[in-house]
Amino acid sequence: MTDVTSKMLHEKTGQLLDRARQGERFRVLREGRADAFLVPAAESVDPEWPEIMAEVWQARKKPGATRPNPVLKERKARNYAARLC
Amino acid sequence: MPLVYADTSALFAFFHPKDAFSVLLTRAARKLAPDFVYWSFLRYELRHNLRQARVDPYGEVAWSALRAAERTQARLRWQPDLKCDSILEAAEEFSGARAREFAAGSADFLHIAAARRLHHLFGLEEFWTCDEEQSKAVKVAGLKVRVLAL
Repeated sequence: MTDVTSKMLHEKTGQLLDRARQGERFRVLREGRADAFLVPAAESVDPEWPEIMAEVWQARKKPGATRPNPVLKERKARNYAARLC
Repeated sequence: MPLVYADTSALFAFFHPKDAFSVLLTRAARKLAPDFVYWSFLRYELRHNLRQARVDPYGEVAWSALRAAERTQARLRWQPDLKCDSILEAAEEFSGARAREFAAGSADFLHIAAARRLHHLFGLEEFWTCDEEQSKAVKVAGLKVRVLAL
């Protein structure tokens, strides 16, 4: 990931787009802060966790008891069985 | 995005809205915004438990979120370097050296061996688990561990 300033992006747009087309990725900084990313169009842009998890996080707010974690339950049961032998 | 190895206990809690550890996982993930390691054993164990949880709307929501995450390239980051045979060998070696020191089970050692392999290859941010017993073995393996404890 290459950092570029917004000024550089403005002045060298064509050059940076050519480099992006060849696979380079850029982080655009304005007043020292990262404001945007410039990535090749061929690259898919993945959704962030809040988008993927929206329904899960919504469902969590609904009233109702929580449940024991089944993975831990299985591990504990297995350890208990091992100690019995 | 930082790369985190969340074992199946942690990933299950992350996806299932009514898991006892769900709040802790969500809080940690919102703070760090990590991408999670994903490989064949972890995928099998996670899918198996989420399939069994598909008995109500909460389980369905969890399953849909998992499938959406699997369609991304980064959020669940597939690790081609983690081949089952070689990780089993590494887990066997770690177990041979340390099995009697911890109450952690065989699958736990497999997760640790996988995380250790990735850490050597390119560095891992953290190992997340809800299992305190496992976390002791993770520390000994030289990894930075975050225990999501109630």
